[in-house]
Amino acid sequence: MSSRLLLSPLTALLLGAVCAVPAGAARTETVLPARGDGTVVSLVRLAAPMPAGIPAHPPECDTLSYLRIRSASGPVRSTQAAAVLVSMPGILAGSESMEITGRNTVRAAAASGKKIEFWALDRRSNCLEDHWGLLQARAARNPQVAFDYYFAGKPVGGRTFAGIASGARLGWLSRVGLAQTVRDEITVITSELPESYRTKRLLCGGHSLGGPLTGALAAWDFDGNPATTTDAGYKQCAGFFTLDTRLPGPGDANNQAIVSALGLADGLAGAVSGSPTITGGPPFSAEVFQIVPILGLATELAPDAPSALIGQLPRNDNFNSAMGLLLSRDWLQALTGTPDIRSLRATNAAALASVFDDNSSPITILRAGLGLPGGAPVAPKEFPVGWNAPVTLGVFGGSRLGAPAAYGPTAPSYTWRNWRQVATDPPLLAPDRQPYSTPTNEVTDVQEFARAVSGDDVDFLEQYFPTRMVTDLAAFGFGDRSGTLKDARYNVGVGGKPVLNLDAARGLAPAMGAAPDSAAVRTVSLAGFSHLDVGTAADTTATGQPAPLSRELAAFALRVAR
Amino acid sequence: MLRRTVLAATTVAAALAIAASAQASNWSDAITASASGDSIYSPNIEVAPDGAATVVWRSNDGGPQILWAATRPATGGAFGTPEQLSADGIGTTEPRMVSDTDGNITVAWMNASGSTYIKARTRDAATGTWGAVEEINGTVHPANDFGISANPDGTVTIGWGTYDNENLLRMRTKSATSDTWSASREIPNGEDSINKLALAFNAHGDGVVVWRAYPNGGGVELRGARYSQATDTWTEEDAPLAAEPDDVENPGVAIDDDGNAVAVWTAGQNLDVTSRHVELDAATGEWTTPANAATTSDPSMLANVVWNGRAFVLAFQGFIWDADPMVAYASSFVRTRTYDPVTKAWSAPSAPGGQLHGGAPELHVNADGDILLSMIGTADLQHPQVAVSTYLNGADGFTPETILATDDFDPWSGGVPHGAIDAAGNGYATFPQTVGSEIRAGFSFGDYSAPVLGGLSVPETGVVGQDLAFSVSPLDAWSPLGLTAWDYGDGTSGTGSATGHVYRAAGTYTVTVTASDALGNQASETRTITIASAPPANEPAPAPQPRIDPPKVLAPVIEARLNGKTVTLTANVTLRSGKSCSGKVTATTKFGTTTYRTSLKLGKVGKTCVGTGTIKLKKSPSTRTKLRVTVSAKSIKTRTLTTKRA
Repeated sequence: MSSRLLLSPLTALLLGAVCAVPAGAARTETVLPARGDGTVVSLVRLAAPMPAGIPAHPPECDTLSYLRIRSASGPVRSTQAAAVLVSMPGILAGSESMEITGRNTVRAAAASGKKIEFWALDRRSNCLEDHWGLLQARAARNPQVAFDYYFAGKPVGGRTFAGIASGARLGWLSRVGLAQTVRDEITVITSELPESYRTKRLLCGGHSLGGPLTGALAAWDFDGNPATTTDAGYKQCAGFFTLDTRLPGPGDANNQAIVSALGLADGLAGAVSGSPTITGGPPFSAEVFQIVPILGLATELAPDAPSALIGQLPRNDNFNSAMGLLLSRDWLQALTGTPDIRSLRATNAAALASVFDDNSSPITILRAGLGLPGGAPVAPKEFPVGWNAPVTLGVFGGSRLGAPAAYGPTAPSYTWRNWRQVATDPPLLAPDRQPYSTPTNEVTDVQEFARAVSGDDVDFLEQYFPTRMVTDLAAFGFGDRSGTLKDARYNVGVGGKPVLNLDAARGLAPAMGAAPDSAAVRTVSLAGFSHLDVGTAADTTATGQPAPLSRELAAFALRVAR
Repeated sequence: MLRRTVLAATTVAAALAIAASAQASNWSDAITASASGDSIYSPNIEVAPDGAATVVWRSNDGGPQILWAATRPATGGAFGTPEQLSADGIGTTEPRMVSDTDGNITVAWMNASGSTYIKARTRDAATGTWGAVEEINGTVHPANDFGISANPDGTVTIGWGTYDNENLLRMRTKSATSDTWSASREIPNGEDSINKLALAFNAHGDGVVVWRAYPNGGGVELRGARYSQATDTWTEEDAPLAAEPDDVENPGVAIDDDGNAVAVWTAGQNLDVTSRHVELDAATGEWTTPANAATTSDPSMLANVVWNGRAFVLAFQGFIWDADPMVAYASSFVRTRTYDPVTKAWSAPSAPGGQLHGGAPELHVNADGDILLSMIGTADLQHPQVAVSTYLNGADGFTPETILATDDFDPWSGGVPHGAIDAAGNGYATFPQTVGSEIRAGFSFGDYSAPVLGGLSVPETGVVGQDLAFSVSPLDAWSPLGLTAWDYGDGTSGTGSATGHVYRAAGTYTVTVTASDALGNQASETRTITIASAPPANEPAPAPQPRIDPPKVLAPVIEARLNGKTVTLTANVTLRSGKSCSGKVTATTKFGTTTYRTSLKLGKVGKTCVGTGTIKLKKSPSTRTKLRVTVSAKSIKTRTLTTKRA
């Protein structure tokens, strides 16, 4: 086991914003502010230098981190937990996107007398994110502090934001693809848990893109020696789980041989080497992502206060395109920018929810069932696809969407009805007199969601998602095993280990097709869940019933680790 | 000659300008109720009948959405030190406030997160201290929502919807003579889930409550119950006041002293929202069928209603859905209507004036029936203003004012304006005010009250030729004092707070003293004096009373009296010695669609420069009408005053 260094929460968080792991320490663990729900959440950072030859990168990027969630009444040492679930986040997401489900799962197990842990991983690219302004704003209980730091160039606490990373600062990310990511994950689990524990009590899985990444992990030959299999990815986990995604099935060696001859992975990587991240420009840029945790902090502190952030949104292409895509009522508004989204009056919760809610966000992978708008008229959203259109282009439509209809200083303010209010309030009806949503579809508490989005020196969103990951996964999916993918050797899937698929009924997994039907694979469809809900759903449904997600996951972990 | 004329005009203009620059509007410049360094939102306000104003707001400094309050005394001046009303670490919902007849202010709110329990605290007007937090609905059964009402008899009532194995409507009261809240009382409500309600009571203690009923599996309805003070019973209405598809939001209700009532709500959803209303006929006990307040197919919402002793007054926000997105999807406006419970007739919607666009209207009424309407205004849908309209009982309609304009007022960051009105008709408003990088609880007051005539001294008797002393001490907490004028009842007059007069003939005279403030608000009192004949020559004459010279007053007093079709205008300016009295001063007023204009004739009376003139109207206004008269002169600021009855 690596040496451990324990720091006070504040010291460690502020240190963490400067330097991930203090010099000389291989591991730090910072207990984060208590959630008051019987869990302990801590931020673990491990020193993990990248291989030689990686282009110049910040020293904090020689670090890996994850959120460790355990029961307050459970063992301090992970190896004494009944089980550990380790979860890889989805595309453009960080560890906080799974923190709520992690806590609920730990609590669900604790309710049955078992103490388990949930580890929500961050990917290495998160090291580029500067959380200083957010931490300072949280300490000041004032989201404006963060806005001023990130968007107004104001020094905060003696530091000035260096700006959104671009150009040479991102060059090294062109080398951070699938191979580095699965090696990073195996570094975390092997340095934290001995083999004897991993093979019996470690459950590996992920949300969204975390499914294919976990599949790649299972296929990886980590010592590069086909003759030895104790290091094989699929042997590191006692079972696997997915959160609205699928694990890739066993590979086809013949197909791999043919595709690998093309050198697809390296070819694709070379073609996009000038764009090391997929968040370099509109509509979803790293700059736009920077506003989201500030919206989250504002909502966490004062959900029904008027949003001071909407009117301050920067006037540039990044924000114009993102806000236009997310909130425009129709094509005309999207194209003209009129009425200006910045003239919308809304509470903090309504502002945050307008980005993510399943009744307003046009993008399926950004949706969570957070509740419903109120306070002001809602119009059917006809952009980018019809308000009642089926899923289009894989990411748009698929829900009955509403958009704000009243703008300007005298317009009524949009408010937010949290998920439970949807069960007690009359339905919000669309022009066809059918409800926009039902209590079944609203499963996430907007205030808990806001807390996760605002983060604790870790992110809900991933500002610098490497393009190399996209091209590598595409090549991996086609069967390429050349270049950096050469060690994705094992075509046994998860090696027959137990699998639990938790599908969001209104998410992505149903569109990926039915899961393999076998005794080892169990698939649960979570009624009403949207794609993000599998990481954020509340412990109870809108009608006050126990929510199934965390209970299924905890029961699966305990069954496998029995 | 020309030089003298210019000089005189300049003198008058300068004198007028002094008053005008001191206060061009009835409303004061904004001051701050909250502390600096504390960025706040959602300020709200209530005033005691005597004008003591309490502003509450929420702030994140020190905890999530902590509730704070500060009070400005009735005598004016600055706000006291802010006091924290809610506990650390527990967020609050937007607070609601009422004042009882003794000026005790009750603030109620709910926990913003977790279980929604209603809390209330009351500020004792006598001691200026806040009472302990009262757990209105305990800590077992959360409230869905609550309503609060201050009744004319001084009772404060809080009602709420909750669930305790069944859906319940509960209520607690606190009388003006008690510091404690009554036990919780159940109001018959069927099995409906209740999460929005409004209640009102009249001077007899009879009341009405309306709520948004959401039966399990059923459509949304507006339901109601009536309270009889005589029998101390609540009776639920048999039928819903409105039924599906009238999705009910924002219910409101008012009741008159005969038991007639008007209920309002926002019906529909999406772009089809309409402000709706129903009326209760106390004689028949029947409610009318719902009608659209806007009277057109345009959307509307956020209606609220008050009873002002003469009529139900309703205000709502309407929309024009604009097909041109280069303008906006919606431009909104505020309209008011009145309902006469005797004739059962609604007036047509009318603009409360001043603002091309408006939103978030709120009506506030005092015991005399004066109304203050607070709202967001804007002329261009871009730049917001804090706007109010006053409707002093007896006037024909609302008179608009703008308190705070763009750059200082940010409805996006801080919320909407709220208003209040005291017993004298003075208006008060609070609003989020931008000061540097902070949002503070801005405050402004509108002076609509005349000076108080204290220490009035008029001899009861005198004799012909006797030099008699008259004095009064006008007091005005809001505006600079204007001229104090005396009418001795014998055809002569004088000015000043202390003056003297010699009667030339025996008889009984009515002495009238009129004190004005700089805004033209006037108060008068009369006394009778009996003057006896002069004593025979061999009797010593009464000793002369000491005479007090009237003070030099530079501020003009402009008086506008309305009598039948005639508006008589008088401007008094006490000039410094040696100044002439000439120039051009014009006065305009509007009645109906006609604008009238006249020039005041200036002349010197003693040391006083007096301008007089009349405006003849085409027809006589009603006896309750007050006209707005604008007086202006070259190079001075225009000022406006309200006519008084002759």
